[in-house]
This record gives sequence, C-alpha cells and structure tokens, in this order.
Amino acid sequence: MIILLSMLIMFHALLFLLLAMPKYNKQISVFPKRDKKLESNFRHVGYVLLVICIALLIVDNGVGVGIALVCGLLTFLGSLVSVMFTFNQTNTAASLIWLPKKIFGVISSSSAYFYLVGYGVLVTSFTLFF
Amino acid sequence: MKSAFRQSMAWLHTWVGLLLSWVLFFIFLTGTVGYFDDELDDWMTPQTPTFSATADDSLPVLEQFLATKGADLKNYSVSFPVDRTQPFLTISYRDADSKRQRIKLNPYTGEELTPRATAGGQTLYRMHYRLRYMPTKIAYYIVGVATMFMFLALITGVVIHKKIFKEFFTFRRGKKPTAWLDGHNLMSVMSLPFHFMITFTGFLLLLYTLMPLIMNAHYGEGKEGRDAFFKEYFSRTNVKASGIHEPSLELKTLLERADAEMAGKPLAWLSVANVGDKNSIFEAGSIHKNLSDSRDKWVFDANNGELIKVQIGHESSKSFYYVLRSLHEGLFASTPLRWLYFLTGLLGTGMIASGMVLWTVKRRTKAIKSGGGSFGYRFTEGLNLACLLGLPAGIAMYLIANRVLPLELSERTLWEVNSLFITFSAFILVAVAKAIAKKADSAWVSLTFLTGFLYVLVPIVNAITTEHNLLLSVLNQNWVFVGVDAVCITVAMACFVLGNYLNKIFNVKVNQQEHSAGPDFKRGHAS
Repeated sequence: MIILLSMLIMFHALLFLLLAMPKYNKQISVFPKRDKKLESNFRHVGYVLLVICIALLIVDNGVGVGIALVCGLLTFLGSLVSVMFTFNQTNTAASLIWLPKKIFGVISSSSAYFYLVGYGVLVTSFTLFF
Repeated sequence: MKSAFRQSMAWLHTWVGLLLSWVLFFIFLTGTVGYFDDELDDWMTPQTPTFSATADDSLPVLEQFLATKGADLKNYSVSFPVDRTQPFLTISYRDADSKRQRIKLNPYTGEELTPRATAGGQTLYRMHYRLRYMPTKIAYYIVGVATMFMFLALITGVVIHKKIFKEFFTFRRGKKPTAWLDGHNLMSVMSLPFHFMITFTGFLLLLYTLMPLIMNAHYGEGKEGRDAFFKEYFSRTNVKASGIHEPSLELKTLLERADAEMAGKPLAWLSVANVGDKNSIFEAGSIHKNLSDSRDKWVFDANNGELIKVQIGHESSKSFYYVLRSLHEGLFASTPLRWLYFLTGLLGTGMIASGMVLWTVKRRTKAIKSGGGSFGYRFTEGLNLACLLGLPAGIAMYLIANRVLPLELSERTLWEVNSLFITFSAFILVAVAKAIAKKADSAWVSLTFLTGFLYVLVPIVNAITTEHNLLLSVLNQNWVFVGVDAVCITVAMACFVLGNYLNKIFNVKVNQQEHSAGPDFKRGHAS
C-alpha cells in the first residue's frame, strides 16, 4: 500500500517538475498562460513531493532497500511520464490538473498546494493507521 | 575551450561506447535475466515441485534422514526452503568415502527429488561475468575491461549533456535520428543512478582478480595465498576433529538454542561439523532480509550448546563490500523490487542497444549516398544487428532446448548452452553476410520476425511438453510459469510490431529511392 501511495506521489511530483518547464508547458492548450510564479510553485511542490516520497520509502523499507526502491521507481515512472507525454501531452497533463480544475474551476499558482496538502493528509493517515 | 572539451568527450563517448558495446550488451542482458535465476531454475525443472517450509516443518524429515545415516555422518549442512533461492530441503554431506554428496528432499514427506539435468537460470546468470568457452580468469579480465569502458561511457555521457534534468522528459517520437538519441538519453538519464551503482559494484566484485597486488603482498602469490586470504577475510569456520570422542547434543536441542539466540530471525541454513568429537561445532544462519544482514550466523559448541561466536553484520570494510554486493545482486529484493531491478536492467540493455543503433543511424544517410557505405560501416552494422537480435533469439532457443532435448541425453546441460550459442552464431553469420552484401535492411526485418517467432514457440513448446500451459498455470497460480510465458509472449509481440514497423519504413525508403530514380532515368532517356 505504501509503495502504491509512493508511486502516485512520485508520478505527480515528476509531472509537476515537467510542467514547471516552459519548454513543455507552453505546448499544452489546457495549461494556463506562462506564469513565472506558477512555474516556480510547481517546481518547488514537485521537489517537496519527491522528498516526501523518498522519505516514505526509506522509513517503510530501511535505508538500503528504500534507496534501491527510489532508484527503481524513479526509472520506471520517469520513463512512463516521458513516453506518455510524447504520445498525448494534454491527457498526461490532465492527470495532474484535472482534479484541482474540477474542484476550484481554475488552475492557478496555488493549485500545486492542493496536492501538497492532500498528500500530506494521506501520508499522515497512513503513518498513523498502518 | 568548453565546446572543444565537450566535443572531445562526445567523441570518446561514441567510440568507447561502440568498442565494447557487444560485450556490454551480452553482460547486461544475461545479467538482467539473471535477476530471475532461481525462478528460471524452477521453470527449467517443470516436473519438480517447489516448496516453502520452515526449519520446524522440515525437522521430522531431517531427523529421519540423520537416523538412516547413523553415526557415519560426521559433517553435514542443511538449507531449508524458506526463500526463493532454496526451493527444496537440501542436505550436503560427505559419504563413507569422503565424497561430497548433495540430496534434495520434499520437506514434508522426505521423498528424494531428482530434477532434470539443466543448465538453468544459474548458468545464464553466471554467463554475465564468466562469459563462456574460455578460462574464468580471462573472462574476468574481459568483463573488467568492459566495465571500465562502461564507466568511461557513463561519465563522458554525463559530461556531454548540458541539461541533464530536461533529458528526463525529452523524447521526440518519429524524428530520426533524434528519436533514437532521445530514446538513448531517456534510458540513460532515467536509470543513471542504477547504471552507476551496477557498474561500480560490478567492478568491485572483480576486485580480487583485477587488483590482486595488495592481497598478494600480504598473503603470498598463487592459489595458496589466495585461499589463505579468503579463509581469513571471510572467516570461514574450519575446525579440525580432535579425535577425542564426546557426545554431541540432539539436533532438536541445538535448534532450540539457535532459536533462542537468533531473536526471531528465520533459520535458513545450519551446518554441523565433527559430530561426536570434542571439537564438534554447530552453525546456524539467517536469510538476506535487507542490505546489511547478509551472512549473519551464530556458532555454537555442538556438545554443550554454548554460544561461541555471533556474526551479525560485518566490520566496516567487509560491510561495505557486502552492501555493495547485495546491491548488485539484489539478494535482499522482494518480488516488486526484483521486477524493478529487472526493468532498470532492461533499460540499461536498451541504453546500450539504442547507442549501437544510433551509431549506425547517424552514418546511414552518408552510407546510402556513397552506395552502401564502407566495409567497416557495413561490418559494424552487421555485428550490431547480430548482437541485438542474436542474443535474445539464443536465449529463446536455450529455453526451447530445455523442453525438447531428450531427458536421457548425456551432457544435456552442455547442449542447452550450446543451443544458445549455435543460434547466436547463426545470427552473426547471416547478419554480417547480409550487411556486407548491402542487404542489412532485409536482415533487420527477417531476423526480427525470426526472433519473435522463437519467443512465440517457448510457451507453445512448454504447453506441449509439460503440464504447465499458460491457462493451467494461471488457474494453479503458478506465477513462475505464468511469468516466463507472459514475458516470452510480450517479447514476441514487441518483435512482431518492430519487424512490421521496420518493414514499413524500409519499404517506404525503397519506394522513395525508386521514385527519385524514376524521373532521372526518364530524363536520361529524354535527353
């Protein structure tokens, strides 16, 4: 269960990092216009989520196995994101921006915090109850 | 200055990568398959069931075996089926003639198991560092040099990328040769930590062969010095019998002692030496659960149960060696992590393969313009093609040979391995000959389809010759057989899709060439 949650966090973290790059986000029609604050927020939240995910895997599996899992998952999910983005940029981006857009009606620079809070609550619940 | 430096690094990367890419591809692919060596062993012995039983479950059978051997049995060791690496209750001992014997038993009934003779997954795994048909030491040197080249290729590869993080997400499909370059970058950058780890740790495993001088200086040269070093460094227990009789404790009592000391760690193996002698010792060991607890063992006096020595973890240098070794071999990995190892290994293999193809693709346009390219270009393309398709085809043939070779064939094990290399050699001959004859395009297509066909054959031949067809395996939840069949079908489908794609693009090229040649021809006539 922890691995599945970590995979989801890592997937979204990589998408945040991807969409924080103007080279990629400017090609997506559903993405808001280029905004430096939005890009910076996406990048920072991407890094924070990545750190949360690494910490989660290391706490759950120990340092050695945790690091091995991080390397393996990063390889797998990074390749997945890259290939998915090549085939369908809009849908790949939608897997990140669909939910906040549905809830708040718009994607803004603070949308990234929605994931940060959401995953924070999920990780805390998992740590407490499992 | 910077640009010149980067250019020289790019040159080094290209040629260092190409020169040993064939050996590296072999090492990476066989090593990657080797992550499932034990599962392949199970698949290649289909009549023999595998078991999972604790030491307590196996104890009645073990005691029965010891009772039948009586007082003659002075030294023996037992491995319990508690892990994927150990599917049977295995007992090793020396018989009355001091010959080493090894039997495999059903841990519940005591029935002796005789798996079919097979090279198994272990041979495939060992091939990645011992290669084949050559002395081990020479193989170690070749693999060592290839590892150093790999290191150089990785470092120069990192140097030549200005924006390494962006390479994570850059994959421009359908734009040749950028698609090949992006694919190469993607596979390299994404699994870069794995590549560095696997190369460095692989190099470290060959340390005693590649850098023996310090060991030789302290322990002397030759086999004697080497043995003395290994005996001391790896603290192998070796106590000689005193010749003075003293009764040893019952095995059950010794196991209870071990259980009390091991603090809940599962008992994976035990060994008893000099039974009934004053110097009788009993050792118990646990399994690899994480990176640092490999080779944990507890040594007792077998006559009074007194704990003599505990070895949990190692001192720093040895611990460093074991952690890196565990990382390389993935001994601690659970099934999901093993699949991740397999996947990253495949990406490493793909990185080498795409690098080989990229070398050809970059020079292809120039070669076509000059009427097929130089002999060197054609020969290299042939070798690349042979290696990329020949080795996977050889592995498929290796699996097929396991099923179709007669069980009573003498040297059956050897012929399984031979079948791999005969197929590989045939691919080399065809591919190089066709590439030299400027028919590399057709060789790419036909050999890709042939490789796909061989992989389709694996589950079919398996279903015909054993009782483990895919459907039954799914119903019986025999995931090893399901896994092998599923992987073979996936590889076959990938080969067919690739063959079809290659066929299409090569046909388009031929049509374009004919189309562009047409008007020239007509113009020639018109003029």
